[in-house]
Amino acid sequence: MKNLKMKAARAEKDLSQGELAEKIGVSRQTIGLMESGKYNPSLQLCLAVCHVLSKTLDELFWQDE
Amino acid sequence: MRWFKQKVKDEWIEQTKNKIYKELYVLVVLLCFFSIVYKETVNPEPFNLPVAELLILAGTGIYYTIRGWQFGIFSAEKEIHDRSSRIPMTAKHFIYTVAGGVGLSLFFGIRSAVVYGEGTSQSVYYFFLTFAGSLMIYIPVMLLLAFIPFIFTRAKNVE
Repeated sequence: MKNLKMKAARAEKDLSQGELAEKIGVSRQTIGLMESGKYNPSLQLCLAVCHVLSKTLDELFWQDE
Repeated sequence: MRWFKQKVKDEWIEQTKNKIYKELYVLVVLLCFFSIVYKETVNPEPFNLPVAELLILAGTGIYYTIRGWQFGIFSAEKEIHDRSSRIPMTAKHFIYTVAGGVGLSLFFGIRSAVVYGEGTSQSVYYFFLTFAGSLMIYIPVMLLLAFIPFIFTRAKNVE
């Protein structure tokens, strides 16, 4: 499932995938895969993304059943 | 707050590498297997035993067993399996190994009857003789082999 919330939060901060990746310290592909829902990230990576995008885990990663 | 501010490793790269290593291991096992088959069937030479291949296969197996036990993955697997299955994993291991022992003994018994037996009565005699002898050897050996994972999974459960 695509993570559109993460994509929107990144756009809100006016960051490209590459810039966000650089801030976190991962590759651009990892961010791309997270947004497209093809990669299941660890909690540590999720927290790092939230920290950079100034969002909570709920706001970016919560999915209703 | 501090622990998630530590430097993030690109876990996708790490996981993808691990996936490739896993495939690589399967490739190595297959290469060893085909090398053994080649040395034993296509090009059998005296004193050309597949020692290196067997060492690789046994060594990696032993290493996996020890590391798996250290991390506790066997006891975790057993716990998950036993949660959803009616037959406990330990019982399954014992059933499979006994079946394996019986299967091997049957193979040797039939082989002995076909290759060395002359006439029906001798073939039947050779079959039962080899079958019983093989059972006496393989059942304890296979049970011992089945007992090893049992010990490894149990030890971590106690902890």
